[in-house]
Amino acid sequence: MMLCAMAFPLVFVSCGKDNSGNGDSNKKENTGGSGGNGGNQGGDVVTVNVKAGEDLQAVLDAAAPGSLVRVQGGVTFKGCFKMRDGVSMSGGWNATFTEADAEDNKTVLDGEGNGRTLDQNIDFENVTVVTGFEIKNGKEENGAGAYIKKNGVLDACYIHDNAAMNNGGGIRINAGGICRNSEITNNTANNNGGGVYMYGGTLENCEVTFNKADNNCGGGAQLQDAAVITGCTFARNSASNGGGIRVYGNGGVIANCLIAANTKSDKGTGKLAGTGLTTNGNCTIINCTIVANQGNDDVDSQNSPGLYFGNGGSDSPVYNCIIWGNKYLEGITTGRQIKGTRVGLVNNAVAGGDETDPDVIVLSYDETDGEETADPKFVSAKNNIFRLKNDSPLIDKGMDDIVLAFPKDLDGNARVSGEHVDLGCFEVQK
Amino acid sequence: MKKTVFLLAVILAASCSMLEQNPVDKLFEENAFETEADLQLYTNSFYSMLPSAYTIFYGDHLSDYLAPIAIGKFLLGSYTAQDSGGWSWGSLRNVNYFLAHYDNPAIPQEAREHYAALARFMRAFFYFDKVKRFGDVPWYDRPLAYDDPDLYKARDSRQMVMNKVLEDLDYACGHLRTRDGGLLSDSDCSVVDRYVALAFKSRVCLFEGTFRKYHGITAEPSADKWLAQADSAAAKVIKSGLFSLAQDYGSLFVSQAADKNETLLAIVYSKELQVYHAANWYYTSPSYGECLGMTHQFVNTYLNADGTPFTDTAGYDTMEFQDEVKGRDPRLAATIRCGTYVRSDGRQYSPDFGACTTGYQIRKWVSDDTSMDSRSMQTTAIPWIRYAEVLLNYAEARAELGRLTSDDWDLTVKALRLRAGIVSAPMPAVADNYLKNTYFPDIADPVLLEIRRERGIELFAENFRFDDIRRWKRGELMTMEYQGIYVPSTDLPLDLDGDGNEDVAFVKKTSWQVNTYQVMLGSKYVLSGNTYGRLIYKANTTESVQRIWDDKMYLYPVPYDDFVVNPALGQNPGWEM
Repeated sequence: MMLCAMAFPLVFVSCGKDNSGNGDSNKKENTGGSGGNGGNQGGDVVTVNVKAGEDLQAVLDAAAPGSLVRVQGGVTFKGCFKMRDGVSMSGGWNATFTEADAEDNKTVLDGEGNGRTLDQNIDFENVTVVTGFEIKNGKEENGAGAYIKKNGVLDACYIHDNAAMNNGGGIRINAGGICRNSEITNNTANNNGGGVYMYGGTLENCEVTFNKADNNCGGGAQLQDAAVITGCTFARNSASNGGGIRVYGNGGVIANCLIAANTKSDKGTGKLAGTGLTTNGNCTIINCTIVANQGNDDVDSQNSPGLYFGNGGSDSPVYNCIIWGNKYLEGITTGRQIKGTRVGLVNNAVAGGDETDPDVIVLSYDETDGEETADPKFVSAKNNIFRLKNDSPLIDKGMDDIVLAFPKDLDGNARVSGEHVDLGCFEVQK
Repeated sequence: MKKTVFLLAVILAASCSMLEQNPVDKLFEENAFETEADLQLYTNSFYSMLPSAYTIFYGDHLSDYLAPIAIGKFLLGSYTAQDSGGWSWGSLRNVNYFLAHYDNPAIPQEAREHYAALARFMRAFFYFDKVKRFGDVPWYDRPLAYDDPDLYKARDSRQMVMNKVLEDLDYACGHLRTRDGGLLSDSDCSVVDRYVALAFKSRVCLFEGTFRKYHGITAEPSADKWLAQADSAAAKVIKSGLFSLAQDYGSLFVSQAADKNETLLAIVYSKELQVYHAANWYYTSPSYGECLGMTHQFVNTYLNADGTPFTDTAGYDTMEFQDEVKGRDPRLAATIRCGTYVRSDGRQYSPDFGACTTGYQIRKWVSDDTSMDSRSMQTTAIPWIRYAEVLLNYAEARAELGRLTSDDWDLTVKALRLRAGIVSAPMPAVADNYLKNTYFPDIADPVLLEIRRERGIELFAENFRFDDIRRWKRGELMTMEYQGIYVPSTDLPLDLDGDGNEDVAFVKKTSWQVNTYQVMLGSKYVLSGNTYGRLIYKANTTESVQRIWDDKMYLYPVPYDDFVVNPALGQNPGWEM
């Protein structure tokens, strides 16, 4: 014990015990953050506790790959922080580090507008997880709140009020990076991807709301280069083109997502644009619900308030989706929920769709009747609850084989329940 | 040669004479006070000393019953003499200059006395304002030259200065013309006459009497003598029979012309003269004004329409907004937005949390013209002295003196309540527990408590409250929690005005699924029960920076710069740097 204390004079509590819950029983646990372990990445594998007022970056710099840095929750660390390869960070811990509440007691990283709040500057060799942090007030050219690359994982984070001069107001994700179980809210980008900008990588089980890319594209997210988005909500974002999502280049996959109540901004050109989703690159779209998005165009414009297939994106296959209740300036117009040249619409439900198309289930829209009784029988479209009622005609109407790779619906429930998969992002559980 | 010299002399003499002439379009000492019209012209400038509309309609932003969007340094304890202001004397010099020069025997004596009385009224107003702010101040009753040693004299005592104020007011009350005397034209209630002076005297004497009583100042004249002066001055206005209460309380504050029955003096505005205010803008804008909201505790003081205390109603403290505003003293609906607030565009306006901190949004000064909500072109008259205040001054002075009779009650508080639309207003025999416990724990007299209730409600947001708090020595009220409406649950959209449309929801995180305006709970707003309960507005306070009250705050500090120029001024206790 004494030897250990001498080796870690400032931070030591006990040796040989792992309290991190990450399965490595040979790590040391330390308390107190600053000083102690020497240069960058040169220290031992440890579990280090960092309290309010201590130097978080110094601890990250000192820890060796495989270390876990536990950080007191409910307190703010100001500055711009560099992730270190293999040094995971866990926020939300109580003052005695006996318990963590990553949901309601997050640790705040506040960039104070001085740069990127959390930065993974290179691809990592080791999986490095950052969990339980609030990441705010970043200001950077790209990826203002956080920039995640290969083997970087953001988990259970709240990323808000960041501003990018170019792309990715909340977060930028590169190939091999993951953001999951997080909220990405109220971020802005001057160019593309108000909430998220993806060059590959994965966005999983996230809520992406109130973000803006008003001058250009992808209010919620812009994705390209085989990015994968699954089980996410994109709501009340705005952009000139693709208020919810814009796909560009070799886009990737969007599955089990709700794209709702996004808007088209008055800035930017916004031509040949969709308010819910725009494809300017080929992307597979599976079991998404694209509803109640609000455009600002006349019904006779070339734009769509729902889904728009643009240049480069006309080959995008779309399966098992619901496209309904998206509005032009004048209100709902059935038969205009999708625009642009498309070749791959398969088995979708569309308000006022083409009745001659065997791959479209035509839905009615009756404002006077109320959405709850008209097809597609959402639980309460008025209150933005787009789960299906038990008597919805869209239950069990999906193609099962297409969802094999995505076994959970937006609620995290089994994707197929009953005879077949339902249409849209929610599965009625039987 | 002789002829040439003579001509030159004539030319030079003529030139000298011309050079000595004053410009005909300028006033000089020799020609400014030659006729009564000159005196009137000169004294017109004094009216700029009176408070502006802004001072009146947002004067109560510093009070216990209005929660502003942000709390200033004064209440946060970081205020110093370097932040202080109000040590300006230019308008006093203007008055004193007049009083030193007006007395031209060529002008009829009655006219000279009238205008001198007007000047002395203004001087009394000036010094009353200064004494309220600083306590002791230097008394000047003559215009000073730039090198006058009195510019650097010490402050005179509050007692001495207030005695002088009373002398000025008594002169004004004895020599100003009256609106019923035929010599004064006042078509829009904007001229100071003898009754205005009497009403103002009742205000000043009530302030000084109660200030001395509750602050323990024993110097002569005693508190009771000041209160007796307030009593008699108010009585003269009442007995004149010239004034009465207007029929409709709410219209008094949103009409183009002041109500001539009730208004003794109004600050008037004119489209022709392009003189405007912006009361609508101030109370409806999320960014222009201070988003003032009435506190829940004060809402509770409004009686039921039947005259019973609302706070005797079972469950009153957990009633939701649209229920708690029903069946109340109609002045509540004339003061804040309730479910029945429909404006000229036919729309029903619910409380707007974007422009109001507590949900109890002020409408008292807001005219129905919605076009005025975002510009400074409003011309509604702003009453400054109302007969209602005179009645309240009279009642309070007499109650403090132990003289108030049931007839006095009927004449004053009861009359005001009946005018408001309250059905029954008997003189109380038992102290109201809510009022006593929440606001005035040291007051046992049930009548005095009710007079204070009535004053708060009747004169709400008319720039009386902070003065009242100071004279009653109830500064601690300034730290009272800013409570808003009752919120049954987070994330639950509420229809505040019962029109079927949801108006607001209180959320811990902005919810995209909630279609209505969302108020974020957190640092500024909390709920007493965390996820439900009373809304509490924290403004810009933190755990370490809270609103405070210290007895030194009953007076402001002498501004640091003025203290440096004249160290003989000294500093008020507790404000020394």
